[in-house]
Amino acid sequence: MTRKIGALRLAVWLAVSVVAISACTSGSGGGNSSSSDGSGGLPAVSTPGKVITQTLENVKGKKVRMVLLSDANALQQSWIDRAKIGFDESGVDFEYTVSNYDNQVLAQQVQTVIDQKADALIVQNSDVSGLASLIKKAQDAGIYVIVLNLGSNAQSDAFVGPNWDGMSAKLATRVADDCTKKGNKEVAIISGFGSDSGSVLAVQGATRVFKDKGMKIVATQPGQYDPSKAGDVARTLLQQNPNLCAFLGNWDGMMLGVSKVVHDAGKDGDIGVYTMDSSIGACKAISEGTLTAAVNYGGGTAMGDSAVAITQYLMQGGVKAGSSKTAVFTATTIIDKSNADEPGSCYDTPPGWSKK
Amino acid sequence: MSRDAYSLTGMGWGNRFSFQRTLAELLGKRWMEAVVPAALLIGVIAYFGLTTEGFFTSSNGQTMSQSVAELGLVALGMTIVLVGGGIDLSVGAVVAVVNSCALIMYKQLEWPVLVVAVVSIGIGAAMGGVNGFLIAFLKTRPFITTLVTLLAYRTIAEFIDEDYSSKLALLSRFDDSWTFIGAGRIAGIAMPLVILIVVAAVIHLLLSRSRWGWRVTAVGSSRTSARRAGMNLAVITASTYVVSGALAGASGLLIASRLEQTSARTGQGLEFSVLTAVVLGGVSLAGGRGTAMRALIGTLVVCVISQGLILQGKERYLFQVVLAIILLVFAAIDLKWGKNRGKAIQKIYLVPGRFKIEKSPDIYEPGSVWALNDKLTGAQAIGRDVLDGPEDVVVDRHGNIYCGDRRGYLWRIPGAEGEPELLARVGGHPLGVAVDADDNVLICVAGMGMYQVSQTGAVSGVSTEVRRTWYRVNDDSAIRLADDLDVTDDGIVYFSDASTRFDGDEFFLDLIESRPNGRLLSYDPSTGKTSVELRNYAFPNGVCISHDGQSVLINSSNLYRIDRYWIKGPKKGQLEPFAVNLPGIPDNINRASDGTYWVAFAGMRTPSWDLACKLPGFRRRMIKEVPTDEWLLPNLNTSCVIKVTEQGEVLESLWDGQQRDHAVITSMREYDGYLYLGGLTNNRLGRVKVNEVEDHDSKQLEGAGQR
Repeated sequence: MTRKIGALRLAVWLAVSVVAISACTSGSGGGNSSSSDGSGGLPAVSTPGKVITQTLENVKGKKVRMVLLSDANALQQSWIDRAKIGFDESGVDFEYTVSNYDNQVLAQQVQTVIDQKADALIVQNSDVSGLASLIKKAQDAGIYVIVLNLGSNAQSDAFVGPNWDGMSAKLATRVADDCTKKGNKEVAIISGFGSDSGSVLAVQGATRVFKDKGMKIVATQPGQYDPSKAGDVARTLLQQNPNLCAFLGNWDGMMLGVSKVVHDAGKDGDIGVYTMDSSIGACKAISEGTLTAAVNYGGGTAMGDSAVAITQYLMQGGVKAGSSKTAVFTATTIIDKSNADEPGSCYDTPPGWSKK
Repeated sequence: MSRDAYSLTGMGWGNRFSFQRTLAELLGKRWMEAVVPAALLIGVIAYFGLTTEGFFTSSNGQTMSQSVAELGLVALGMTIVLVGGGIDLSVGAVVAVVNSCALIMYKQLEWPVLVVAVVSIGIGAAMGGVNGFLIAFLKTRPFITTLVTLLAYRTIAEFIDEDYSSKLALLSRFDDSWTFIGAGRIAGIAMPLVILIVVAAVIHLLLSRSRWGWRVTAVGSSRTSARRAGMNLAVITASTYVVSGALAGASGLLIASRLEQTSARTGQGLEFSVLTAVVLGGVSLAGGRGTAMRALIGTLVVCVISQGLILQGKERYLFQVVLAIILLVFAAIDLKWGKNRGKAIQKIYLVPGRFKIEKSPDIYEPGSVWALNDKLTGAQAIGRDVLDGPEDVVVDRHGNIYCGDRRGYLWRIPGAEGEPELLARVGGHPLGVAVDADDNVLICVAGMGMYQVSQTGAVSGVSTEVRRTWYRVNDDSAIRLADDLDVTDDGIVYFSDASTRFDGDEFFLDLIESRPNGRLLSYDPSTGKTSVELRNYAFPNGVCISHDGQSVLINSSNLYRIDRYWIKGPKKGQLEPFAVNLPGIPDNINRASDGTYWVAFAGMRTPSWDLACKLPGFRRRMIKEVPTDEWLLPNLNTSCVIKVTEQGEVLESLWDGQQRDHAVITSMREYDGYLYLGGLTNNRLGRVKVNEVEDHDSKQLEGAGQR
């Protein structure tokens, strides 16, 4: 199974490379990098050693800022960890800030990155339309914007994250199959904030599949990406719907709160809990039988690396900020009892995680 | 330019300045209440300016201005509620609800922007109105009520968020005027900041200049007093919450326009930031104290810290921690400051100084002019037990006697045998009196200035202020201790302001301080202007125009001397000694019929006080460690009247040897061969025959044109 995850990583890298190459060849030129005549930062022919020197020279001292909603979870910690390592090794000036889910602070932080004239901004967005104007403003100021995990209406230079709709549909199909086997049709969807793209698209994908499969959606409610809030919602739903078959949600950190409520109600196995994302807690819960299935979408592994790769590419490529509007989707794998114990199925807090 | 009389003290330049006095006077300034918040603001700006790259950039200023406006509006509302004696914890939830409602109206209902704006603020006001109704009319406690509505409104915000946020996120509408609210500029200034400045100005005017603002302050200061003053407490209290709600609504509208994002988390914890801001600004949580300016200062402190930490890339948690620590420290400092400022001023305001004083002449030498006699004993009493403390006395050309009274009265007595009639209730502590050419009585009133009383008893202020000395910390524009006056033939009034630091009833504090705090003023009726003639004069008391009208004689009660100040002729503007090192405390001085001058000694010098005068440290300890009624003071109850020639030579002294009826003599006037005696603490005027000559020409009528 190690090979499977390895293949998954490779797939992501390939995807990134393909995007990179296609952007290179179709690049509209006109960049900040004047060292070469092409859109990239390297000469047409060169030795491998010179490539290294030249590349590092090109990105050295570039300012990359990451603005996240939180750094209290393995998901964001992994992004930060990969970004720190990746950027540090190539001499990029990297820093990150978190807003603690405060939209006003988030906007202020993004505005500050614009004020600081960074070269690239990697941002996790809490609302589909929330940062739209600021993303445009950043691009107008010549800053590459890479939106991570949760997308925006305003198209960034690159989106890195899962295909929420497809992933949700995949998981919902699994839910429908499991429930059909049990002969029970009632399902509940728990989303995040409700207005972030992850929630909007996950609800959309799951709803479509559930309808196709003739399932009955008893509720669609936001759990605010908060285990206790989601737990409260689940507790109420359990009381109101004694025949409920499954909960489907779009983040494991939140859905572990739901699984605890189901466990406390003594309904382990009777009521399935399905989630997207697979931090170590999800695998543990699956092994213990409180969580039914999770989706590994590379959140703690490939996504951070992809973000670094794309950022490096944009900064070297010399494409004008805001001109290459790209989305890179990470690969997805469903994790359940059969593979939860496999290495690589779930990711942990990065080793040696430290805040700064 | 006035003449400096400092050198008369015999002390050097260094003695002019006192750090303690400057500090005490600075502390007394009203604006010093805001000095700690202002220092804090400068401190945090300096800190982040020095340590954080990009802090002093215009783009950072623009970024900050948005959060300043959003927080500032709420802080202004909170200030009004706090000044009115309440508290509004629900503001954050109001912001969240209005933010969501505004976006629903704008994006989903597609209402015109102006309507959205008005309705948004209206929703905020209505939510504030609920708070106001509960607190003001149902008499619930502000803290618990707004805590409950905070939860209730927050729940509403969450419901709206659940139902609308995903829909709203996918809708988009572009309208220039909508964007303008949150991101537009007027003359280069961000629109939110313009809104904030306008609102702050309005709130400032409302709080400081309007009847409503005064009433809010009154209610916040003392509900009982406000009720007794007939104010409608309920309406006033409720109105503060409505204003607070409306301003929170305006803030919610700004956020909606800027972020276009609904979230149940909008404004979460805002009540903490806002309360921190206003408390840092010095708005009192206890009510009755706070200004729009202070709210803005506090808001700036909070926003600078917030933005500074963001610039430094610091954890967001740190912001709360830093804010909490600053609030804790500041609240402690502010409490101590507010509580002890008055006490501190009281303790250090009086700064004993020193004069160079010669050894007093020996008045016990046999055969000297100072020999005790009974020339004043048996003086005829006028207005006994009717008058109370007539410091000065004057007689007009018709023989009417006028004198002040320490209860604030001015008496007119029709001749020595007449009954005193109350001419006017002037107020203050009336001291020196004079009569002008039109028979108006001019009177120096301690604590008020120089006033005029007509024969019908109409009182009007003549001179109550002078131009302020720009380099003095203490505002010396008011005439605090107008003491005595005289009028020249031209109608110019010369009068003394004995102290620029102590009021009338505290005149003895000026004596204890022994610093030249007084001044000689002149009032010119043709221009209506009052100007300072002599400054830094030690307790100028009696003032008298010389017989030839060329100079003014001034008594210094503190330096036991009389000086001549030339107002005309070749020596104009010069100050020269007239009589120095007198054995008593010269109070008033007036012309005598024979070309000499009468001078009243309020008391005789004592060796103990002469010694105390040389020891400022002793006096400092005395006022700190000994109760007021046991202080060692200059002797003010062994008085006499002396006669002095034009050359300053003492000819004779007149005593009441029994020291009973005229224990204190602070003034005397000669009229028609008689000497009239006034005394600061006497219960009568005295009248004794001093001149056998009944020459009408030498009646020595006092006042301009009546000489």
